[in-house]
Amino acid sequence: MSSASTIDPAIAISVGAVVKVHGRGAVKVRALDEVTCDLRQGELTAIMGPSGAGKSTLLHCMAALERIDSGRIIVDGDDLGALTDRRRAVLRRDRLGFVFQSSNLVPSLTAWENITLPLLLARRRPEAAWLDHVVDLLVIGDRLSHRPSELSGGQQQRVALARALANRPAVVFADEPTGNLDSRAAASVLGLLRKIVADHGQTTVMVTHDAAAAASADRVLFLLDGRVASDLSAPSRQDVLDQLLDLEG
Amino acid sequence: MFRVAVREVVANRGRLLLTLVSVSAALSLLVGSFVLRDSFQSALGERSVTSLAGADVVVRGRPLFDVGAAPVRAPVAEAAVASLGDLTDVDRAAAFVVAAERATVLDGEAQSSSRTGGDTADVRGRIRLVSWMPGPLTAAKIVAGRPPEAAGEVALDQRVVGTAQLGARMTLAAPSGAAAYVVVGLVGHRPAAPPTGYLSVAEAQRVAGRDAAVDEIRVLLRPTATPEALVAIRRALPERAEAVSAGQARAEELRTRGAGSAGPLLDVLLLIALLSLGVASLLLANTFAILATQRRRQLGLLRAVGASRAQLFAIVAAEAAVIGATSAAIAIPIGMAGASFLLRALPKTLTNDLPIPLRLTVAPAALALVVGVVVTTGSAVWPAWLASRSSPLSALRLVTPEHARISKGVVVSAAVLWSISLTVLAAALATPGDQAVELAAFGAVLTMTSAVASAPLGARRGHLGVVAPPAPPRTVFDARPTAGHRGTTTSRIRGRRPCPRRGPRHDPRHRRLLPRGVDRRQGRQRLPRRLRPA
Repeated sequence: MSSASTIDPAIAISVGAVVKVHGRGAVKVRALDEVTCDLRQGELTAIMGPSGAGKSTLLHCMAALERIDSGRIIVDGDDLGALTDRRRAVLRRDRLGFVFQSSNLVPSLTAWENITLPLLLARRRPEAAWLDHVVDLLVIGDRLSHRPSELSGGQQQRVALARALANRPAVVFADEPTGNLDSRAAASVLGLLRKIVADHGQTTVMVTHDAAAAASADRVLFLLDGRVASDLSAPSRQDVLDQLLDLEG
Repeated sequence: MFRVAVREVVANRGRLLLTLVSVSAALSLLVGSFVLRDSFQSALGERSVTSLAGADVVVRGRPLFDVGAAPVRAPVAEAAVASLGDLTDVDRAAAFVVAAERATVLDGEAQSSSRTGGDTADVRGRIRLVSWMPGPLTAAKIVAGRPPEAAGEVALDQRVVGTAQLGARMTLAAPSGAAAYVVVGLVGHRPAAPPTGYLSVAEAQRVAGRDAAVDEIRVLLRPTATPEALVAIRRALPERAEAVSAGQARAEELRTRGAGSAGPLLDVLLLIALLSLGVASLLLANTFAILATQRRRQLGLLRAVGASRAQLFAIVAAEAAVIGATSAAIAIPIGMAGASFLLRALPKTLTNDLPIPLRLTVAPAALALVVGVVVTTGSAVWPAWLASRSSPLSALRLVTPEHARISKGVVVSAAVLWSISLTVLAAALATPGDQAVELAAFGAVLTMTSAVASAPLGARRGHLGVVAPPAPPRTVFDARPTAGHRGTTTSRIRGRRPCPRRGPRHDPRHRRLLPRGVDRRQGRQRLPRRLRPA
């Protein structure tokens, strides 16, 4: 918390020399190796890299889903390393939003109940105007009473996006949000994500394998072997592909 | 949280049904055994109060020897009735003779079936013949006619009279022989007493073969009597006789009747119920542990979106409590119906022909509710704690198994089996007599078979992972990943050899494309000659 004062207010997430090791002994893998980067507020940042580069690990560490072995991560002014498990849960509930590759909706709840799940957990009354706006924006108004099994993949992902936005989070984390969708649904979800960033200045961090998705981001971080290999601002699809080929090398 | 728990419970009907069946079965056994015990104890107590109503002291013969639970006693000289009646503190003394424990109505207009509506007595033509005692020394009251006074006269319990009226003639067969009687009185009685016929003392002595002897002398003391009255009575007793207070006699009767009839049976029943509950709680703990494991993905999701460990614990525990309370609600009427059925189906020899009215109290129901909730919640504590400790990320990394398809055949078979089992059980409830027990046993076996047959329905819903559609082939850099990429990191993290049994080299479509001498672990690279297989 005290470290917050040293962070530029325009920086939503500050990652400093983060190391994360998976496993032990012979199977030990250094998933993040002294990763340092700052993610600015109001930007859509994409993280790319080959499989095993540490993209998802970095996202999970920033999203307080996983603890780091060394280094420091500050999210919305809070040093994640200093937070107890309970306060990390509260942080995730109140100030962070998540969209996963699989929509990860609770099957026994309706779309509306899934959207308001973080508020239910926080025992807070839904902010009707904001939720109406989100529902309109994501065009799921006529599907709110349906269970996830009654929704298409794209609709499920839009419900998941609405859930991520329900509590007006400081940062939305998306882990391959279009990975399970066909091209049309993927384009729709991506467009909505872009629109939310543009209209509401929603800070968003997205891990993706899709060059087209990365090209819609304000900034693309490339990871390789647990390190930040390069950093592109407002790249085109071709820039992204070229950078990936360079990394494959 | 409670709403989420309830929705989760309701959403998984197959699992809910099977869990409810197992918990309800154990709880209904518990309820049934307690209701049976209550009914037996109540009936025996009532019987004792009825038979010794009004008496303060009972004079009886000393035990000669024990046969089973009740001792065989020597008869008491009839002359003692008069000598006891002369004592200062004694208000009244009357002889009591059991003419026959079981006499049979051979003919006449008497019926063996019940006349008193709700009473469940089924005497099958058998009645108990005893001597009539006057006034407050018996709970029996003449409601029509008069008491028997001479040989050939009988006053009958209303339940055995049937359509017969006063003055009706009938033949009663006792072990000592059959004799013709005229009904001179109708006796109202408490339902706990067995169907009874009353004779005069002399006639009872004749039927029982007791000459100048009686079984007991019931003594009513004056209100001014002191404790020394019992001492005075004992002094006046003939040889081989003893005097006990009515309270002591009641306690002995309760004990001997309980031990001699269905007492051990009820104890065994209670033991079985408790064992069933223990086994059910172990099964429940196992079930909840499996469910918590299967739902790791969902619980991990809840953790990811901000549920605290306490909230996750509360969700799992609340689910268990809902199941426990629902099971208890189902088990209470089933247990009571089962107890009622058993009371009707029990052989009369077990109850000494004593009708056992069903006694329903709040206690067994409250016990079932408390035990149901405590057992299910207690069984869920450990799984709930484990669930609350799981890492959200490890849970989310789990791959949701593909939704198993249950064939229509399984559904139809389970439905048919359940229908047959329930029909057989219903038939058992409606059938009187010994056949009911056989039907019930058959129904129980069918029910168990049905539960096994419907297990796949629960198992399908057991995969409570979050809805995850099958993933399409992932493209990386606009191309499908090579075998080397697929899952390598995950395999390393989990300490496995990369790509075990996966990838193109295990795909029969691709295998034939690999030429001889190619190392399958290295894709399409050729091995050095020295490493090629012979």
